[in-house]
Amino acid sequence: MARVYEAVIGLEVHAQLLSRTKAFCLVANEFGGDPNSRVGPVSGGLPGALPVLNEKAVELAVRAGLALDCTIQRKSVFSRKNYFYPDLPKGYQISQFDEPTCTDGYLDILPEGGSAKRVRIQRIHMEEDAGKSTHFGSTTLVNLNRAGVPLVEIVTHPDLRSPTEATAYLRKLHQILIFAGVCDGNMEEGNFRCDVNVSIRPVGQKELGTRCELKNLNSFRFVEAAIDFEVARQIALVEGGGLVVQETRGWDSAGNKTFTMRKKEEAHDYRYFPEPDLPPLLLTESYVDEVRRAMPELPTRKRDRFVKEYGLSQLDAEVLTSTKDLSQYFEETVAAGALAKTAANWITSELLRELKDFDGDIGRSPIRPTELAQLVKLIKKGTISGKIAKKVFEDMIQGHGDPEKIVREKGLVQVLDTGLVEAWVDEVLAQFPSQLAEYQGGRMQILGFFVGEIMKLSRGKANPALVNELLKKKTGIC
Amino acid sequence: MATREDIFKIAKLARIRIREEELSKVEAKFTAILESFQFLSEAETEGVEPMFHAMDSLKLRVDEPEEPLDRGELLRNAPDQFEGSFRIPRVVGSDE
Amino acid sequence: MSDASLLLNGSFEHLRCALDEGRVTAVELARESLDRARATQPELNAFVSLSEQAEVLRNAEAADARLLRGERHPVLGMPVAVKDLILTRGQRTTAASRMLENFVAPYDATVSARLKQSGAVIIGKANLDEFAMGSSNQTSYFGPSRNPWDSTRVPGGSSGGSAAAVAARVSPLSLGTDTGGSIRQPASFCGITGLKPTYGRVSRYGVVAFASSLDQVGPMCTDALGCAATLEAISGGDVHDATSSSRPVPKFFEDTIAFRSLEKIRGLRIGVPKEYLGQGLDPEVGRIVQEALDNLQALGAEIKSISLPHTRFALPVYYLVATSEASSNLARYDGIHYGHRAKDFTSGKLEDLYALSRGEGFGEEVRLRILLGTYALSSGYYDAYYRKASQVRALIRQDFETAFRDCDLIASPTSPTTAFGVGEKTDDPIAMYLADVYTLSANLAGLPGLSMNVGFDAKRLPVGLQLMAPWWEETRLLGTAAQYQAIHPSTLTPSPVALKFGRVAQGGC
Repeated sequence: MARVYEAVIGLEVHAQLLSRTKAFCLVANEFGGDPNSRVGPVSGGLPGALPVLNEKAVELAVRAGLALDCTIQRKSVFSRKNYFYPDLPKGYQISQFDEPTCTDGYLDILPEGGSAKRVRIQRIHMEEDAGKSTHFGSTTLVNLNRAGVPLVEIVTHPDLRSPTEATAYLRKLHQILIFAGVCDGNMEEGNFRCDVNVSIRPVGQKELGTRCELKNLNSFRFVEAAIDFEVARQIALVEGGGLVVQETRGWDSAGNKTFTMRKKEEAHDYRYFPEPDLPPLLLTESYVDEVRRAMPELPTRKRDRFVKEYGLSQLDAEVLTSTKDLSQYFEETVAAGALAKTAANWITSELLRELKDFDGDIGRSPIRPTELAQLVKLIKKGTISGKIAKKVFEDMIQGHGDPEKIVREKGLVQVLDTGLVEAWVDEVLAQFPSQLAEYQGGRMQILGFFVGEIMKLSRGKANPALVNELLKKKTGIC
Repeated sequence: MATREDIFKIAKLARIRIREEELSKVEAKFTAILESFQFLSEAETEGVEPMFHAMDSLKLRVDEPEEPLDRGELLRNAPDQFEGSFRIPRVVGSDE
Repeated sequence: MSDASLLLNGSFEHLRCALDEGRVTAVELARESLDRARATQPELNAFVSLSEQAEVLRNAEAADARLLRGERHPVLGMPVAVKDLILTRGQRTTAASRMLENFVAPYDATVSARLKQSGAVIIGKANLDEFAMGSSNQTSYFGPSRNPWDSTRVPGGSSGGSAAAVAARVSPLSLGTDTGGSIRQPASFCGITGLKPTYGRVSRYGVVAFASSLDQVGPMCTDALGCAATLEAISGGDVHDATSSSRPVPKFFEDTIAFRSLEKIRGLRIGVPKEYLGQGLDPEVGRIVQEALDNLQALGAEIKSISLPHTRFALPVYYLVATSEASSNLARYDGIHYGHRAKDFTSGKLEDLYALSRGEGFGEEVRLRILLGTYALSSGYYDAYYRKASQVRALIRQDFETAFRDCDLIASPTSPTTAFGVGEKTDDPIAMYLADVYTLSANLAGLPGLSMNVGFDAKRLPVGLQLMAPWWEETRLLGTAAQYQAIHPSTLTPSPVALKFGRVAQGGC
């Protein structure tokens, strides 16, 4: 009889910190540039170079710890992790081993189709990134620009049980780190990277099975697919009488499978020892408080504030606080004079729909918050109707900018002149006598037809409320 | 004490080739040194905090960039380079 | 015989006056210095490379211009040799190793920059034991250096070239580094004055690292005042070195002169550790050091016996800590980004590329120490070796804390013997390591230590007295040595090599 297995998943995320300089080197922390143009003696591993710890990196690491409800250790120690690789110029990475800066935190998640769960975070520690090596024909090229960039490594306990839980955790973590200003989460640029540890065990068993580490998964979709594949692979292996071998596996997105990158025949002996060039990091209570006070608003807090301050629905608030950029866009729109609820509607329904192809990235919006605010104000003033506003909006999406200019140039200003509108009403009623008779005979839906015709005649400019009022008056039907 | 096998393992870990002819000499010196250090275990260290650092307090530095190394000067010492990157023969069996 | 020539054979103070009063120029000194360097090089091999003459003279001219403008600084215009472990931008810095044979430094060490800013004139890079690992300067890839008192003997190490250069009076000042005694022991063998500052006093940025928690850069000079002047020029906190202290830098030169004038040896309590006597100490060395202690007593110091109970563990503790840190510090020498890369690489396996390059690039002693250090840190051995040694290190430091409650200085011979012959002791690592047995503890505890010449044995080889002071008390060391040297000027006799260039200049300021 086949046993039932459960997947046991732990996640390690490496997030690059948003500091101006590298972790231990005084050179700028920027993406791109010509190869080896952003290297200093320290990040280049030159003879005589010494690490000096960036105060911003410390602040951001502590912020990450606070955002994830960790205990911030008053004393933490840097260690050397010794190994040889061409993209590691010193022959060791400065990291933290047995005394990391943050420990014992958690993140509450709500996976799709699942129930709320608390994922325990074992530790967050600071370390430096390595350079990049790329294969080129029969040679390998090494670029050290990325070497020394500050990272935090966030490690969970093996609390996750499914690919959906894993991606729920990653998405939320990604969001929180961006909101906290710790990392900008750009996965294409490699500044938010995820390694997954996967093992299986029969349900009910306490001991963990042998795990495999999955690396180089650079999107949430790949994470989900890779875990799916790997769990199935391990179960099939075990059912077939085999044993899972501890190894590192990569993800082949073309073939949709994981593959062996490197067997752990002998576990790496990193010979960790405390970094002698950096005395222990001592953080005071008041320092941690200061960091807490300077922390940007996190998603949950912001969402609750939006509901309270702007009177938004829970759902709208949730959508508008899903990314930092979007929440900022919304608040800027309101700050420019738009009514909160109206702005919320326009953004969540119209604007985000237009941005579907860009995954809802508000940064790709052709409409600036001040412009959207203008549009909303025009509607409130009554200068244009809601329907006309939609047309104006389409123009703005095309990049034609200022709504006032569009309205003016296209002569879309709503007509409120009773005389004019009355003339249109009279004209339509005169044009369709049989429908008038039907309407007066009790077929109420004909009203819509008349409104439509009047709108056509007025080229949409007649104020709808006024049209309705005059129709009722003229037809004698209320 | 350290066996021949240990020395090979350590040499591999340290990425230093020891030639066959040298091995006995290295083994002898290694063993002699380790033996002479054995009595260190006699020191009474119960409850003693190890002295891993010679300085107590860590000074943090401000997050202000300095000029990077001039690429020409940096690459001048490279055994081989190609269009600004360090170049090595393509290798298999990486470490990390 | 030029004035420059006479002056180089005299005291630092005398030379300083002559420069300040315009009786000699920096250019004249630099020329004489380079001439002497070239003349002594075949016999002593004190230098790995000499600075380009045109550049040296340009720098000397700039120093002269500053002097003429009335600028004054203790090392302004002085020729100085810099141990080839310390990076000097645009110049080869080799660490006396095949690994860095053609490495041209793309940046200046902080100490190099500060020397240049103070107007000292760097004339060349001094020879040393490869990667500073040794006590005799015999492991240099560029051949051993020799002792100017007897060229069949070693100058000591690892800063052997720096010591020889000063003892030969090629330059009055040099920079060395000290991890387990590498300034003090060669200073002792060569009859000059050398100081290892308190750990953190001088920045290590740009100094090829051997053992991070032990290394310090320090002056090696003709006498204590030269050391004081140099120390003042190079000391101070550095944003590039997280282990450097931001304590204000005393005016060491002035303060040392003041100490001497006020004769502050009187009343000093000088402890002599009982554990240091016996233990392979040469009887002649013991006798001469005892005479020096008697002399100090005659100047009003109180000599007392003290105990440093964990002394016997200093050797294993030092070697375990130093080689562990070194094994990691030298991992960067892999031939990928700089340094020696093996040519005959055929297997296509990355680890072979490393192993061959490093196997070829490093000498025997360096390879041995890296292996030892790797072993001491490896899984299964970390607790018994590295961690244990670090615990005992704490106890050794505590010994000093206790001792300094009842004394102001600690004195001992610098080394158990005088300079031994080239080729001796090279096969027995322990015998070689024992040459540092008196100096090691100061590095482990982070204390400042000084060696000064106090006499000569029957073979006319110098004998050094070591003084150690509490943390940050370099002035007490320099002042004691300066006062002693003023009263016993024979201890400042130049070496036979130096005397070939002329007799000592007489007179003062």
